[in-house]
Amino acid sequence: MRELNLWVLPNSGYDTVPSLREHLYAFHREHPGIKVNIAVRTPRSLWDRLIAAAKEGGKGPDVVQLPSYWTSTLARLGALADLGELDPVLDLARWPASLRAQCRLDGTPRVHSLPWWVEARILYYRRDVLAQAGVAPASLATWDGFKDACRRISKKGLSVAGLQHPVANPNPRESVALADVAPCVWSRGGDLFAADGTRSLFQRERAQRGISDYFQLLSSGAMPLKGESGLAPLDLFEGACALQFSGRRPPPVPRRGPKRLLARRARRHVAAAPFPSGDGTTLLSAWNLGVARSTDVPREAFALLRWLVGGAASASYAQAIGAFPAAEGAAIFGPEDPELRDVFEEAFSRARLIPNLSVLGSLERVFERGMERLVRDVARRRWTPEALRTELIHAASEVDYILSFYAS
Amino acid sequence: MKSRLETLYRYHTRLNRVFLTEDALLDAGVRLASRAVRAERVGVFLAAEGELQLRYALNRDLWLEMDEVVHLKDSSALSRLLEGRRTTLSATAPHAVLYVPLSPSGGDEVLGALRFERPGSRRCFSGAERTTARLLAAELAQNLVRTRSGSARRRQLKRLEALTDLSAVFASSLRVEDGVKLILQGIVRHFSLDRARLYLLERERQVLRGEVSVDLRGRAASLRGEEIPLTGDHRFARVMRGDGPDPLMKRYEERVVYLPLSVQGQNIGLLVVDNLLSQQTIYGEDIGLLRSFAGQIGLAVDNQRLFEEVQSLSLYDHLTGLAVRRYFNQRFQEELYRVERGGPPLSVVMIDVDHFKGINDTFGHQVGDLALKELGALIQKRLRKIDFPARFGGDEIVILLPQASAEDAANIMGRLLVDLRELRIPVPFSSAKEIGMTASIGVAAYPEDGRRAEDLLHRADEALYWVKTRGRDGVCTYQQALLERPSAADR
Repeated sequence: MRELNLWVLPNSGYDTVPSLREHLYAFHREHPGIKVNIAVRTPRSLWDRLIAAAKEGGKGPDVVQLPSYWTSTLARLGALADLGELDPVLDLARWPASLRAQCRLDGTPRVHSLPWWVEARILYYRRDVLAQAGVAPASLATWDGFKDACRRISKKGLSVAGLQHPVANPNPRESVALADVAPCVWSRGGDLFAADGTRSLFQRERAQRGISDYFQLLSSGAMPLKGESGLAPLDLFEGACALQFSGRRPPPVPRRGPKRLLARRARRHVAAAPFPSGDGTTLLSAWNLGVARSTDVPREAFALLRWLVGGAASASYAQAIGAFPAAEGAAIFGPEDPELRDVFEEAFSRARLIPNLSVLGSLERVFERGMERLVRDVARRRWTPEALRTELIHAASEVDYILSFYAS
Repeated sequence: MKSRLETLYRYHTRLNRVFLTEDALLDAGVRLASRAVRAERVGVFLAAEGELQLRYALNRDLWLEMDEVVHLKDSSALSRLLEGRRTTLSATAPHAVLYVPLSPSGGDEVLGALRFERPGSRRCFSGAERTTARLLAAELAQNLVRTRSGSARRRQLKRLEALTDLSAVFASSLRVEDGVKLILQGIVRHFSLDRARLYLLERERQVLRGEVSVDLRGRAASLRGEEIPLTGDHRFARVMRGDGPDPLMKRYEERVVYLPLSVQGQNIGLLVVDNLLSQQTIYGEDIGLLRSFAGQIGLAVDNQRLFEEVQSLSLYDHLTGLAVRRYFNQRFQEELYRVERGGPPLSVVMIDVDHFKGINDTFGHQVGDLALKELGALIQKRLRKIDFPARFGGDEIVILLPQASAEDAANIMGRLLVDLRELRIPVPFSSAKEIGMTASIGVAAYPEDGRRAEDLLHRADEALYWVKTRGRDGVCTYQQALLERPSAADR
């Protein structure tokens, strides 16, 4: 019996392991000689452990899930195997061109990961709360309209039973990630990095406005950080908020537990709209799978990877976690929810990816460290736009310093 | 009461063993505690830099990594724990939640907190459950302190190992170019760095000249094209001048470390190590050790420079222990005068190590040097007392064999080749643990192959060339070469 270690990110929170185990039954039927051990890693832990395995050797994963835009960086650090060596006739044609670029080491034809599943960020809202606050859903098309809706909900909408905040925080870490601010930056006409990957742009005026938009939600209290308990705040689907950014389909209503009544009531009023960027530009997040370079069983690891990213398996796993298969995107929707399907189809057609630059994994860490400092300011009620500006300029200098060595 | 004591005793005995990592201890300890307190989920918060981080969670028997920061507010349940409260229940959570501090009994230090939850129920934790949870958390904290000190000891041992390993490299490095490459490879490996770069000071020109850079896979690249004037605003120049760090340097001081190399109070270069690509922190203890290594590296570089200067003035090559070319030429003339006056025969042998460039390129000059050193020792061991070997340049060695005909010389060299094939050169920092070596040898004799030194050397070289064309690893006299390859006589 060969054992494979599969490291995944928390794709469905506490249910990640049970849902993936269930999903892998079919793989085990096809490959009875392979046992798959699943470990759930946070992005930070995944990064640190992959780096340690690349530097010091030792036991790492055999197959690993990663944000698609880490592919180049991890390949460059020697953490990911060249999949072309494992399958000389590897064909990426079934995935869209934008996702194919996220599988390669930047600037080379070498493939180091394959797309598994994707999500495109949209805005969910509560029709009943918007009506109570006097907000027309059409006004949510722009960021200014969205901000105005938050203000109105804070004043008039919070009387709806169970409602605690206008907007649910999509980031459980009490932090702000590149993925959180990217669509806000794009909606203001800015960008995070130059297209050729040689310098940062997030410190420029337009990008700053986009990031500031996001931080104003936090600092105004419209989108809360964690509560006093340290527990993640409840979200729109649990009846606690009126607005929520998400890249996934609505989760099922819980069958038991204290949250079920509010959740059931909220679900009756949930509707969806494009991300409030004016032109519908939004974020496409792609999650890829790679084979670790340090694996002792590359053939078996590649067999698992190929099975997971395969059409039927990818679709069924994406379905189970409320996301979308990488090859099909929103086309997976059945006719049961045409309104939601239209919103997601629109989102997928206008969504952008964070670029797979050669060292983006490293740059993300620099950026997020800066964001952590600002979130700390928010928590201590000290955040100011000036502090944001200073922090972005410093982070940009650090990013440009790294790019001066490593940009391909 | 009895049942609680039994629980505590069982808990104590189950945790009373060595856990290599914090993760393994907490996994075992939290699993047992969750059963004792009948919680469906337990979160583990660890204190770091004035904040609490949710690092792990046990959910329905599944151990999960978490990464959530909690910015503490004065009135929060977690804040109260850190201030010394024994247990806290959450009033705002939608289900039953109990917090207990991770604090060793009898100590003031709070390492973090445990959060016990019953997500499917509002049934509160009873007083007895709260007391049990608090006592188990105290026991767990006690073990956490022990595991952490064990990890610190292992890290300390690892550093000592690095110290020993690198000191051996310092001691054996003979040439600047080769020595620093090995030193940098050792530093990158032992301190898990992304990169190490070395710059040496050219005092006359007041510039830092790039020497070599080693990446996280141990690959070396020359930095010879890089020159940084000491008078400019470059960060390296700031460090060399002793100016304070600029704001950007302050930001990445945990990931880039500048280490001036100084000898007797004078800066001779700069070592820059970084973790910019991996974004891993270089911890203070490692920085301290790197600083002390910088002192040793400075000395090693300085010694190597002095060594090279001295070597150029010497009669004997310090690497191989053989005579240098200048001294050989002098002895060769003296021997020729002797044989011209009717003395016994004289042969001259030229030896070239096969694929020596490949050894240098693949395993580094350090290994190449060691190979030459071993070859020198072998030659001195195998030759007669009257023979005179010399390092002619690079990997070429010449030997004068007085009172030996070409055939005698070829026989002596044949025996040398047999011994040479058995020689094994150890290769550090490589999957190939050792390498073997062969050589090609050409022989020429006075007077049949020439009467002047340059003619004899030329003929020996031609014979050597013939061995190379036949596939290396052999001996050939010039006369044999003429027979086997008549064209050699025409050239």
